[in-house]
Amino acid sequence: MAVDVGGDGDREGLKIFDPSTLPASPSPDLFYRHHVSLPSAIGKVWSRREVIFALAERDVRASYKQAALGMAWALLSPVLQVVLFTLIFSRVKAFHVAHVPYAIYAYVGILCWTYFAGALSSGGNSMIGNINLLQKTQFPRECFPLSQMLEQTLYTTIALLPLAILMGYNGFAPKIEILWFPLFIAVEAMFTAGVILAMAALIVYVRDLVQVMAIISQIGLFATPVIWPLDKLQNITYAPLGLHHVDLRPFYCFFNPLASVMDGVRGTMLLGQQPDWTLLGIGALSAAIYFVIGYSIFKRLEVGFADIS
Amino acid sequence: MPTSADGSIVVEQLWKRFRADRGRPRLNDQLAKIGGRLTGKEREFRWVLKDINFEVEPGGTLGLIGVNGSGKSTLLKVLSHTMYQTAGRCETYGRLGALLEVRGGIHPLLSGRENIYMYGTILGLSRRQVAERFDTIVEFAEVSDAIDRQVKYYSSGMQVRLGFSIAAHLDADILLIDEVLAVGDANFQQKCLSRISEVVANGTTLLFVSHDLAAVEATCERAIWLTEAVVRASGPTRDVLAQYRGAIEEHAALTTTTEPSVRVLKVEVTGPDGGPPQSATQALARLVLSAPKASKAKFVVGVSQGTAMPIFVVRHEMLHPAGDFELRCTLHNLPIPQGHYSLWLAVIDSADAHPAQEWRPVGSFDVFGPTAVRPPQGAMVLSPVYVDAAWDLS
Repeated sequence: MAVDVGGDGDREGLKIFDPSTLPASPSPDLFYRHHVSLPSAIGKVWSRREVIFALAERDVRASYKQAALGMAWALLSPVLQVVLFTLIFSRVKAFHVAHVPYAIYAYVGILCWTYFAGALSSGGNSMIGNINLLQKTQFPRECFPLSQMLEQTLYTTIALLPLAILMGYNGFAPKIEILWFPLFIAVEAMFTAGVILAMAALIVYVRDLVQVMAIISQIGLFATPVIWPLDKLQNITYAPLGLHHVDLRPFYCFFNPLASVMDGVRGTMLLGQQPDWTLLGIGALSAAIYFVIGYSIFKRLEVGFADIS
Repeated sequence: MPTSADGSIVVEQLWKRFRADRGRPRLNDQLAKIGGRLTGKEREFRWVLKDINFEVEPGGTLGLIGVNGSGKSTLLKVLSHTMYQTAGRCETYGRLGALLEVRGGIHPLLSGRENIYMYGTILGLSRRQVAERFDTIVEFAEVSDAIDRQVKYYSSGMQVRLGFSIAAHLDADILLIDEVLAVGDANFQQKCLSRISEVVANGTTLLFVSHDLAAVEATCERAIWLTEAVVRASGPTRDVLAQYRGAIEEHAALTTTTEPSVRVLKVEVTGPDGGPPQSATQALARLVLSAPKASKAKFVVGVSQGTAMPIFVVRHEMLHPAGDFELRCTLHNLPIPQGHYSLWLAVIDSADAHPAQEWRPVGSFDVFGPTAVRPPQGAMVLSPVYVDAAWDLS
């Protein structure tokens, strides 16, 4: 269908094409199938990890650039939260925990929760908020939500300072079992990454999820053992469902691995217990499942990111 | 067998489509669509690239030309793996540098310095590499005085310079550039073109999208002309551009709507002896025109190779009679090489500055003589030419 005009027949010459000879669509065997294995995808992200740092740094710098107090806000808002929680919840007797000032107990839960909730809301919006980059650049798309996770890690780390002050004020020292801390962080990070990857990808296609995400954050704050201890689920009796003295914790931790993280962090750091390996194992397994499913959704949907957004 | 050395591009039977229904994403519309799909109705698509085939060897330069909406930018996005093809194969080998929009990655709240680090990393450099090139980038962008100022206080020209400068120092094996020179002043455009030539001279493969045909001609050995999602012509840049210009010209002739009050009856360009015109000798353009009334008018005659960018124009003001008359314009020295050219004419009434004949090509002619000096073809098109002419009328 190409006509050689005035050339000597090889590819050096001018070729004129007649579009009318083209079929209406390509033959079915030519269609592009997007199959990416997660390990190779993770390898690609790792090789461009500097982009994650660059995007996070950009957002941190930009969000405090115009503020008179600048980075101080990253410290101020958790401090205010601590004050608020101390004032309100130290008066509610129902949730009190032995040997630990309630404000500390609640604040540790809050930290675990805000890490997830903050990463969810900014990570979920990270791609639709960067449409320019999404459509015009080529680094692995995972960098968008992951950069938000990194940013949230920074804020959470800063928020550890008020925790230290709170402990000093109450004369409370963390227990040596705090050394298990990285384990819980790993579970929380895996779960968070899975959820925000799926959320960020789905939001590109269905913007309604922005609203849904806000509602999840609201409900989650109370559905997760942030202000109440997980032990409340240890011995559940609910006659209409035929439950008599059932331990719901394993089921709940499988559904919501954050519960096992919060319970574990508080148990080790504040109460000096060994981690509850059953609950932690269930939480870790669940977080891994969330991660694989969430990441798979992301990779499946990434084909259309630049088209749809 | 396609080559797979660093810097090569292979595109085979590439197809790309978008969803045609960019309608509301409301629930009832979506349900209707799902219903349609379940009952076997195909979803509606719009093909934006159809059966694209080409190869670029390492160090090769390819220009993509075509009117707006012909698929050039989409092709670059697929090549840069920002978008995925619907069907076919599209491979780039080696490090890829894509500059699809200069200002896209620049964050207005950050300073120039912060932006260089951020955008450089996003475009594929490591932090250390950015640090090594920092001074060169700043110097090229001519923003050294403003480097610690927020970019939102930059002029748009400065922002573009900053963006281009970062991308121009990527050290990629393949550089994809999409219509980024349209903004920025002539000086900087020239600087960008020189930088692109420099990068190409160092062996980088270049894929260049531009509406600036002279720039394409100056930088690219080969070109592809896209129209409505398909390749219309491919080959050496000069030949493809000639085809493209020819098509634009035809289109322009078809869409000229105003009825000229001066009509063109005959156009002829000859040498001094009445034979075909020769390069670097005297040539005579004879135009037989017909006017409804005698009037004083400005006659503008131009010569172009193809489309709307004449190589030179000459003008003269004189009285013309009513009825048929012949306008003779003697060009003392025909400053163009061998080739096929168009003759343009405009007749502008001196009294009311109304065009009695719109500026458009009225005929074509062949010139015999030496061929053009090849490499800097862009220079030939860009250079203004003064031509001495004598006029008379009968």
